[in-house]
Amino acid sequence: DDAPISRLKSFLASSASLTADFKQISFDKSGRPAQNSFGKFYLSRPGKFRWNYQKPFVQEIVSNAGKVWFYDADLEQVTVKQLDDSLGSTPALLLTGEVDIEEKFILQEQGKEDDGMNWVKLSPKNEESGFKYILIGLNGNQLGGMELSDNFGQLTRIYFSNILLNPKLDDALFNFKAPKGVDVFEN
Amino acid sequence: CSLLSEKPVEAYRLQDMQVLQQQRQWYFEGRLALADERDSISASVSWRHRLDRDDIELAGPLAQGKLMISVAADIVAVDNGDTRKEFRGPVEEVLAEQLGVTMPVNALKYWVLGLPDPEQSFVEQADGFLQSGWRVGFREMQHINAVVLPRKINAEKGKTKIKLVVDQWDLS
Repeated sequence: DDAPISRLKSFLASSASLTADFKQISFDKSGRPAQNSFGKFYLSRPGKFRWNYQKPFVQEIVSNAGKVWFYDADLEQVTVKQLDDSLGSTPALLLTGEVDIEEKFILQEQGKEDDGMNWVKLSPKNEESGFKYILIGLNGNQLGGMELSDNFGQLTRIYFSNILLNPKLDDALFNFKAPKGVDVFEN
Repeated sequence: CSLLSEKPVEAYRLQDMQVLQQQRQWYFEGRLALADERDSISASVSWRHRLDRDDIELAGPLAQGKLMISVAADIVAVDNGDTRKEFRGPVEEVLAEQLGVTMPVNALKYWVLGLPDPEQSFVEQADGFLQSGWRVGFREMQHINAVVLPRKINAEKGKTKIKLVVDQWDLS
């Protein structure tokens, strides 16, 4: 088994929980960085994660008990969706062990890039996942980054830092409570 | 001195927006929430308007489920990256079917500039106007160079609610 793929699998198996800072870069059609966002990522296996976007604006994405809450502070809106298949292969879901990666993805080792990370490419076996592929970058045995290509071939890259493996995380972190006065829509 | 506090420049005033009537093309990036009793969408949005054509891009969190919509006359094209479908017919109806929620594009392209749709009557209100059954309210304005433009827009009609936050304007 190629080293990086087995390292990815052992990382996914060994991280019951995780916290990290992240920087997200989205690239435009011509590949130039279009927008950066920053925040904190929390994960607790199985099936729980939280993205706290802090800059340039406040958004929260929380997954728990088969649902995903998406909150935007400026829009004063919370949208609650079922964690169905099309959303199911979101990258974060991938990290929470809810998905058996080999059952859902074809794995290909991409080699080391100038950022020093070993990247593994995961191509969804299910067509409608809304993604062409997901790349996961490893720093040695540690999660380092993720790259998503949407259906138009536009890239979003996420770099993780200050990673804490298996911290004790309070469950309340994944019980989303809508702030007062915001619209909540569940369907 | 006047007891009425001077309206902050950030408050919406219809006459401030008239200058934008001649605005032939514009572009903005922001976030859009569309909800009615059937479904709701919360997405990042970019919208490029040219004289006779509107190109709108909607994407969910982590750029998922991106849709590119283009509207020219009564031809609406919806592209999800895999397949591009073209429809002929009233834009609002086509989009209600394709998006699952109401999006009055032909009026919205004026509302985003703080203007009522010139082809419909309207009744002016303190922070916006009433038009074709919609209550359009401008909750926050912003300065882009010397021009005052909306930043937070709400539009409600019965159970349907649209909320838009414009993060970046480009009037060039």
